[in-house]
Amino acid sequence: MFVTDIRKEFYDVVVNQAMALLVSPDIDALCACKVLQALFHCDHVQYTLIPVTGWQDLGTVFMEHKDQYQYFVLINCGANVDLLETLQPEEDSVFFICDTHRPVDVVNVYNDTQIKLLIKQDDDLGVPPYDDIFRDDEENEDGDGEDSGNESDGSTEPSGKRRRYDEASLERRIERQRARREWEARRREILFDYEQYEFHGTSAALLMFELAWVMSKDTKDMLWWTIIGLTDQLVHDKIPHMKYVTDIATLQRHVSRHNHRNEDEENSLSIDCMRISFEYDLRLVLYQHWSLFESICNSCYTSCNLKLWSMNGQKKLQELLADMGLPLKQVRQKFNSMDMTIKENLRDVIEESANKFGMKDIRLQTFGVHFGFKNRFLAGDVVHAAAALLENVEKDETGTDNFIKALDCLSRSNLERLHLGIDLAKKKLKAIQQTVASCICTNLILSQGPFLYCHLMEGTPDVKLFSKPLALTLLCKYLLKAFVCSTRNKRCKILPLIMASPLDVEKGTLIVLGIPPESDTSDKKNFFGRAFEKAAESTSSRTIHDHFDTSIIELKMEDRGKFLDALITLLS
Amino acid sequence: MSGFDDPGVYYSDSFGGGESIGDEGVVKRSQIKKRFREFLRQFRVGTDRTGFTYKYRDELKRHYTLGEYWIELEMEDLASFDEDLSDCLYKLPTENLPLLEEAAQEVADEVTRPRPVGEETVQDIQVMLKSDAHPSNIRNLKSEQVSRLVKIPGIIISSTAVRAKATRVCLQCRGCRSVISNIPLPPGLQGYALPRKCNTEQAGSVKCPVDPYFIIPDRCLCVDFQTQRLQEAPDAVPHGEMPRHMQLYCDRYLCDRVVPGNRVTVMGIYSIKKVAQTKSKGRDMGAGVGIRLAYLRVVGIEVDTEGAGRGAAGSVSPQEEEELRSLASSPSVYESLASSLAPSIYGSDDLKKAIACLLFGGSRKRLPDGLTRRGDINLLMLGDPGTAKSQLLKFVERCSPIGVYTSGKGSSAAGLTASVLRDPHTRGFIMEGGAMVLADGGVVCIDEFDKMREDDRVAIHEAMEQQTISIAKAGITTTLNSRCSVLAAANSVFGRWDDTKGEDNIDFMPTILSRFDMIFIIKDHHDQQRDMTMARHVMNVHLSAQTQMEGVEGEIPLATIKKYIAYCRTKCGPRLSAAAAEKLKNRYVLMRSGAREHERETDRRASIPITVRQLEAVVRIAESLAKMKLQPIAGEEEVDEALRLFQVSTLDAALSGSLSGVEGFTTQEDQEMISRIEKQLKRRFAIGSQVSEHSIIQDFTKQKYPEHAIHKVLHLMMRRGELQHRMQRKVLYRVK
Repeated sequence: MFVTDIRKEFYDVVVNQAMALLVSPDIDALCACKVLQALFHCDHVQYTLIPVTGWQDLGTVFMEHKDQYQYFVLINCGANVDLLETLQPEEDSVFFICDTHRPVDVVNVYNDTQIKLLIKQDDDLGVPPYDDIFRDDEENEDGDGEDSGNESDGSTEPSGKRRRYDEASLERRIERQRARREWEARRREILFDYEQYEFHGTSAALLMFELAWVMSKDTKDMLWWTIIGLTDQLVHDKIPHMKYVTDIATLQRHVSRHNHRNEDEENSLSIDCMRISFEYDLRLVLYQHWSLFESICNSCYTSCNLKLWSMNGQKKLQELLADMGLPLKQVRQKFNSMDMTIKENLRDVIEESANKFGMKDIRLQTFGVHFGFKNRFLAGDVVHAAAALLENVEKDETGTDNFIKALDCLSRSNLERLHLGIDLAKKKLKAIQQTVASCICTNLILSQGPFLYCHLMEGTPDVKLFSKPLALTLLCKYLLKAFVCSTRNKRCKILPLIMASPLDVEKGTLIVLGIPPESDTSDKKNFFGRAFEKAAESTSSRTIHDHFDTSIIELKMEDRGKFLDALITLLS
Repeated sequence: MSGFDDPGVYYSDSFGGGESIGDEGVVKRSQIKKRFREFLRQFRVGTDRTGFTYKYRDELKRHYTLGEYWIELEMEDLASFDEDLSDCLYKLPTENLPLLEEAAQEVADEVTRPRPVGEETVQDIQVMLKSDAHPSNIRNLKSEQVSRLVKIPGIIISSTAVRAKATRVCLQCRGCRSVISNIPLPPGLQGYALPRKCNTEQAGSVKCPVDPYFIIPDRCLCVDFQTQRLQEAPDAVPHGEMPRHMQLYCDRYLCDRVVPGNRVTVMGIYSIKKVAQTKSKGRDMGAGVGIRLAYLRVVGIEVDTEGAGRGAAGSVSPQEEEELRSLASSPSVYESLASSLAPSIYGSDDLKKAIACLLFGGSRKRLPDGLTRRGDINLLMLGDPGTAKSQLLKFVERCSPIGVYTSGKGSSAAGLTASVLRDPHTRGFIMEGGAMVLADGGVVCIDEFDKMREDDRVAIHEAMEQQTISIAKAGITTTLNSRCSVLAAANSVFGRWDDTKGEDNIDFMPTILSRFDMIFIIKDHHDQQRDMTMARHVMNVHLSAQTQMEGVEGEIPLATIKKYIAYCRTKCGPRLSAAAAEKLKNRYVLMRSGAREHERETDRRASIPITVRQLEAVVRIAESLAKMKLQPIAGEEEVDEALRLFQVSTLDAALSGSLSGVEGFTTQEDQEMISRIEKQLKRRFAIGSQVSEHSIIQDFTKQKYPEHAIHKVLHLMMRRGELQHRMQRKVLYRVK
């Protein structure tokens, strides 16, 4: 059931209860969690924070805690499957789901007692009407739609449940069976249409922020986390650009409201206060913490547009720099130590020159924060840093440790950790850049007909890094963009990409990820989730669909061939 | 009045900035100074969550109360406070740095007030700068950077003594006795020309002569200064070129911050000075008027602790100390240290353990009669090619607090010990320490020890046992300290170890062999199982060179090892416990008798495994093992391990017959027999005659001399050049 009044139906309910907070490992969820934690902190709410990495993990965590808690808050997980079926909870457990994954499972939508969806209604959800997909066992199909009582008993599972039939006259039965068959066919069609594409909705952090706003408890810190959450959706390419711009506009209003609040006392506003400012900044990653040169080399946007992996691209880069009038020595210098005269109107200079080289939209609406004398961060950079900490592979630490570290780096008091994250992010971006360059130069991307396919070999440098979903997603998007920029084949440009990377050598498993085709107008809807399921089913490949994103699966290395063949036949 | 009273003139004309002349310049300067003062006073770090600290204000106060009148300032902090300010410091440092120092002085005045009686006048504060920017290279310093701030890395290769330089002088005219005081001198190595003419006009008196001024030394203000030479970092030198140098000028607290051998990153003002007057015989004297020599006025030095060579000793912060203590208290510190040494080298566990002992060293003892017993452990690795000896040496150089690496063929006796040379400036003789002097308090790694010339090798005898180097050359007679451990690597005579040849594999004087506490013979065994694991390991190293992330489980990172070694060496000097000494004594006796039994069994005069000298070695090893655990007393456990290490190194080498002939490893009887054979041989074998080797051996074996002794004698005589092989080694020829 969708929650209409999030404050009354969610916050006021849980505020006096102990609950478990289950958070999926992505940055948006972290930010939402931060906002929620801050709210709980104000109201002295007891909660247990548990990071969950996948469905199995969710199951075990639930089993462990179900006796202890009645309320479970799920952030960025749980909406896109039938939760009651998966977890088999007791009657009194209540789940609050704040998830960006779409489509929302219909059972979740129409369960009124146990599942509460904290999802904004104005998103384009397109949930099929109740009547089209559910039908009570009696002849009168309509009527009980709004009645929530008998629904949760599970009498109307979508598939395969044997139903009782009223013993009536044969003809009526036949007639009814025919009607039922028709109805079921129609139902399947509707469900297929509904569930075919996987995509993401409004950021969870934004939703949590709006909760805080409604309660007038929003602070600048919360606003900053929300911004990071939204930026994460852009960085990891979860939402179309238009959606990002709209949400940014919403946040912009909040930012100016917050800034306005302080304006009355402007003279007394100390430099130590946190200030969020709207920036029309460059699409260069981490450039404020790196050198401009390296940032240009390692940013997806510039690197792909200039084709930096080729000699030609390198020359072009030199031309670009010459056009900007920046001496090489300064460009390679750390940004902080660059000559001030260059820095003054750097953004305009770069934009102007980049326009000449066909990079029209090198600037992007985003936010920056600064507090104290030294601490200036752009939202995108923080996302990269947090993601790098979250998927740190350098030390053999558990996922929970990394989760806590990533969570910590978002708060203002843990600047060292944030800087550590930035260093890690640099390493990660370099690794991505190198992998992309080697994949493009050695033609590792193969066109398989309906999609492109790329397989990272075991033993490739930094392959360990790419066994993590966020890093692999980033690599995948980068690679596809680079491929689209470099290939001459028109047909290949509109194909989606499937990427496989070794996950665990000893177990012989791969992590496989599919992403939708790259284009400016793409709605980022991903059909690989269903396709993977079907292909795995038809070939009985040993796969694990454990990730909350259905387009990321684990696959046995030996089954790769037949799985791909099945995919090709399925999609062509 | 004279024009000297207005110092502003000197600022303005040396930098030619038209705007800074006159009132405008003064106003601007006072504004800049005000901003500097604000910065020092207001800059704070931290957030409202963690609390603020006023970084520079507090530091200034702390330093001032300690009597150290300097602070270090980060350019990034300044830039984040006010970008214009850091920009003007970058571009016009000579002009703005004095302002910054004045501002620092004023702030220091504020924060330390009220000062105790007698210290009312506030001292000058030196401001050092440091920056986070990428350093540029000596090679890339171009003329456009003159009088700007630059940051360059390199190695300090020499430094002069600290001398005094006047910052303000007082002049007196020898004609009219008028005194001009307080004339500021330009900073750095720029010269200052005394005024040619006396300006005071006194009616009626005689005109003062030309060049009338002389400096009154009593009324000058002086600061310390020192010049050093910086060499380009080795990794920045392009292929096939020689490293370049740069002269550094350090003053006040920057003097003696670094010593030759340190890797440093220097922040300084790229300045120029007049080329020193060459004694060219009138040839194109006027040609070089505008030519200036570049040097660097240092305003900040950072010592790099990473990398090889002499790292900074550095103070250990309380947190680090706690960390190191907890490392020391972990039960497996010895094993984990050994396994963290050169983890990319497979196996050689005992060798690594021995090297760990060498790195920590035993305790140096001063006897009541004033003599000292060395505490440093010397180690020799003898082995086949391709057994990673040199890699180990390189690693030891990197992780020892002070490490010097030399290769045998490329180092001479003087280079290892000390050389006397003529100073080009003063024409006097000066002494320069060689590798073993530079490595005082550390480890000197000598590769290709066997390829060294014999007389060069002899030069380090003194250094190895007495730990001093005595020089009597060119009127200089002195003794230098060289308290260092020697880690040497050598191949056997035939390149590979030849098991059939036994002791012939080693071509060292017994004198030098006996100075090594442990001798490891590393043989390249052929064993399928071992080869397999080895190959896999090597493949892994090569394949995963890029993929491998730093730090494998259980290994201590290199920086920590280095710090730990330095910490242990300074903090700990263990002694043997009474029980351990008793045990060692018993074991010593037992081993000697055991060896005698072994001799009887094999019916062969085997080398004696242990003597007093080796007993001392075991004591040192035991002490170093205790030092590794930061224990004050070396107990029985350490003695056991030390004996085991000794067993697997020197004893094994000795038992394999490879060390017999070494002084102290050969019995008296053996020695006598050998000299008897030699005498007899010399008597019967006239100089200039030829005899076949076979017949000599047969002849002596008939007289019941053991064959190996005869071989030994022949070998010795051949080494001394008394015998020579002729006719495809069939015939021996007596030379002398």
